[in-house]
Amino acid sequence: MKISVTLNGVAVQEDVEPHLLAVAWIRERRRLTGTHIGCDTTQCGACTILLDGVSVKSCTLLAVSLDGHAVTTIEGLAANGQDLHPMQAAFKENHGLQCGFCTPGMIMRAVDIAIHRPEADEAEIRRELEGNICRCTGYRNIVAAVFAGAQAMRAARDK
Amino acid sequence: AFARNLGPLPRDVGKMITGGAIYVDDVRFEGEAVGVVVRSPHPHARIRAIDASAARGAPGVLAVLSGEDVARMAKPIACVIPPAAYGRAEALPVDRPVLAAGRVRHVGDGVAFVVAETAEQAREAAELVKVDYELLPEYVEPRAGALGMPIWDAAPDNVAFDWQFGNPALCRDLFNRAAHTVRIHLSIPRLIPNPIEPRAAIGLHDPQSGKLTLVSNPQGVHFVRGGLTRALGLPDGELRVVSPYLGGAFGSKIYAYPEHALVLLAARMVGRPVRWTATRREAFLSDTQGRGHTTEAAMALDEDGRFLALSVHPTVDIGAYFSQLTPITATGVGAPIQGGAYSFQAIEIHVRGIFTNKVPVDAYRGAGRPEANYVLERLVDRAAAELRIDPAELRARNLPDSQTAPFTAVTGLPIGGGRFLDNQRLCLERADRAGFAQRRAEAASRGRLRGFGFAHYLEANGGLQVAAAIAPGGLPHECAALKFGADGTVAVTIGTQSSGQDHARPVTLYVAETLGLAADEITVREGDSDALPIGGGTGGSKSTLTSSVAIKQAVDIVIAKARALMAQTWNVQPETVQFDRGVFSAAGSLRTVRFADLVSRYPGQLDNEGEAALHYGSSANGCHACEVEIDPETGAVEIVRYTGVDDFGRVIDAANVQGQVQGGVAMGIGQALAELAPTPEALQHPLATSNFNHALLRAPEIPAVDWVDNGLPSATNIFGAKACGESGASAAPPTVMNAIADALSAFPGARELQMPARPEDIWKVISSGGAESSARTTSA
Repeated sequence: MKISVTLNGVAVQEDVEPHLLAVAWIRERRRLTGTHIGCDTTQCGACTILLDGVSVKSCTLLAVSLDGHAVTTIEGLAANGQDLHPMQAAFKENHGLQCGFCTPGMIMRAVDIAIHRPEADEAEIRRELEGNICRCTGYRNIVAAVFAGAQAMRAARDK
Repeated sequence: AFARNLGPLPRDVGKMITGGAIYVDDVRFEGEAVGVVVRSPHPHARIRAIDASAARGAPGVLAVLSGEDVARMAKPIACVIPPAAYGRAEALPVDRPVLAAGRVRHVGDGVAFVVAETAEQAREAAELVKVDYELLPEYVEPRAGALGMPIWDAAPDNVAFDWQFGNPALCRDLFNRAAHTVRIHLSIPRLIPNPIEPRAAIGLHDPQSGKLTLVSNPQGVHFVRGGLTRALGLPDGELRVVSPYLGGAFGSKIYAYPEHALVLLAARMVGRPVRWTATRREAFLSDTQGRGHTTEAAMALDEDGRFLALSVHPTVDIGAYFSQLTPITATGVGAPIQGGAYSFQAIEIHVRGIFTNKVPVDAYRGAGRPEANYVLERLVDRAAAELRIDPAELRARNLPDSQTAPFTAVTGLPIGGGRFLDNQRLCLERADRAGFAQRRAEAASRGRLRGFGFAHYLEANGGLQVAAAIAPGGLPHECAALKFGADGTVAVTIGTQSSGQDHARPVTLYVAETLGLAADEITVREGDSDALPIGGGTGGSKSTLTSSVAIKQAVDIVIAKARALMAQTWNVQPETVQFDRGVFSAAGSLRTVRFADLVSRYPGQLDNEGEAALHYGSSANGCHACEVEIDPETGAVEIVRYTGVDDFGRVIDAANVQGQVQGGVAMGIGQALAELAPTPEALQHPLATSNFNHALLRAPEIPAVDWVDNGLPSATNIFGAKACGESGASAAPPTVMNAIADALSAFPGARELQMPARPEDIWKVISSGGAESSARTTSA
């Protein structure tokens, strides 16, 4: 089946098998390997992407269902000319990662939280992160990073 | 990109947050094929026959290997611990095979390897491999005895080892004379390490040279190379092991694994790169697991509550095979710290390792020390309750005061000093123990049970016990290489393997400070067995310690070389050339030169490699406290406050260390409250991996640790450091369980509450009723 997807801001057309998973299309066909596979059963969130600005787990989505939509992966998060998206910078500054494997999914989820719940407090951020597992950090610095990143995104918008 | 450029890599956070960090499954090679392991659905069965003809004829299939095929090309992956280290005269033939031949011994045991053009074709063909199994009796619980069909003929009672340590005679004597004897029965169940990055491997074969390359995600490339070359019968030089970014490990990625050997054998056979990536389900079925102890322990005290003797008898569910370090992980790694820093007069430990039809256990964050600390600190709290002494007071009577001189623990472990009692004072103050009664009363007014608990821990860091077990008198070794670029950059290659700890930081700071160079010109790389002759890898919280001796050795050699060059230039004796913070000077003259300027003057001549042994370990120690609230209606536990006071020696990078504490404590809390490896029966169902879903704790369940650095600098290494990576995993389980025991002190059933203390277990304790005056009987 033919799909048309705006992938990280670029219009892409491709023929895909009907059963191809979105994560496989992103990783294997488009070779965007920042989207990781941690559990292949929609539990860990390492494969989280933004679909029309909303975070989804790309291992539970078919590539064909991306047709007509805009997909953002970790590689396309920073706007043109920007080194880092404010959320990426916040993860770096707050030591929001150790091994880095869950990190792209965490950041994509964090961007969603910042967009849809810009005023979230610590407890709410923690609840909103329930779908993403980190095995290294014990979450504390991730929560701090999401909080700081959301503030930076707000500040950037208000400018 | 990585595929063309194999080699040691720096850890670059900038790449990790932008998707540019390359993990094994992100690497692709031209013409690569994909392998899938066919795994046993049965815990214990004889293989009558394997029919792979349909699979061989399936679309895209390049090769199918059975256990018998593999047995002609490879030996099992050998345990590196000689039998004397775990109390046997001769080694048992129980090493983990590359593929099972003749018999499968756990759910997930590999029976065939199917290689095809694509992953999908390999998966489909794997379904076509027909294995005729004859089911055998299965052993789920670790129980010894005469058996009709033991797991191993060489161990007719299923006993793998029976290991004794300490002084049983003196202990017996002290118990006989003791005013008080306190007993406890504790379960420390099996856990699945579950790094978020699954294990993965790519085998490459160069037909010209015959050389094999393994691209994988181990914690140490050299250890894995050794395990594989022995299994495959190759000289070390015929195999290169390379690791790109490593996505979490926690002990489970120390080892050479069957799939490593399979991708290499298959690559040689089909003449193409062969890849294998574990699914999460396969992580449950094949990654080494942790813990698996059931322990009877007792301590003897005199009438004043002074500790006399300690007796610890763990039964360890080791699984179906020896993984490479299994016998030492279950015995000699935990034993040195079993008595903590307490002033026992004698100790005796008796470990029995029992085969079961399960995945092998081996090192998991702490590897034996969390088990030992858990038993000790739960037992001390139990003693305090039975003797009606404040647990802080009881510990204070038996701990050395802070700032102690070096001393030897009851186990013989040399301890270079630590904060001990001072940790406890600081921790209880910081956790506001004084105000707890009021908080408990307030919680009670809301219908909640609130408890306060704390525990000490002691570490034995540096990997010395493992090295000494592998070879009598052996020491951990590490290697570092320095290369100076004409542009002023310095490349350091080292044999450790970071998975987020940032081992580069102390090394960079030391090189920069000692040689007077800019830290941002220094890049530290890890993960290539060809880049260094040896490497110790990461495990046992040793990387900072082992890298300290290796980098010092390498830097010392560089300085000696530069000194000789300057002596020649200035026409003076080398010993008159002084060196201080990056500057050489000639005694009695005004001539000076910066080391940084010599680099361009003598291109390539200063490059060097240093290899050194770690002679002294370290003993991180600390005291952690937590407060829990239990909802009696549901049994749910909420950790409302957690405090950690740690003596890690000198802290080099507080943010990184705090991250290690928080992450280690999170794992320990997971062990106390939730995690449990599924049973073989559960694993037969594909949904068993939903445990990954409900047992791994999420962001709302893990509190922020209030962490206090109480480090007493170590005198045994250039960094002044001890260690920090595994401390949280030792500290948290007894801390949390002591707090739960305190919250449930009115309920006699809480005495038998074990980890994981899940809501249903706690609810049962509460609903079986409280006691007006709790009976102070000792448990069996």
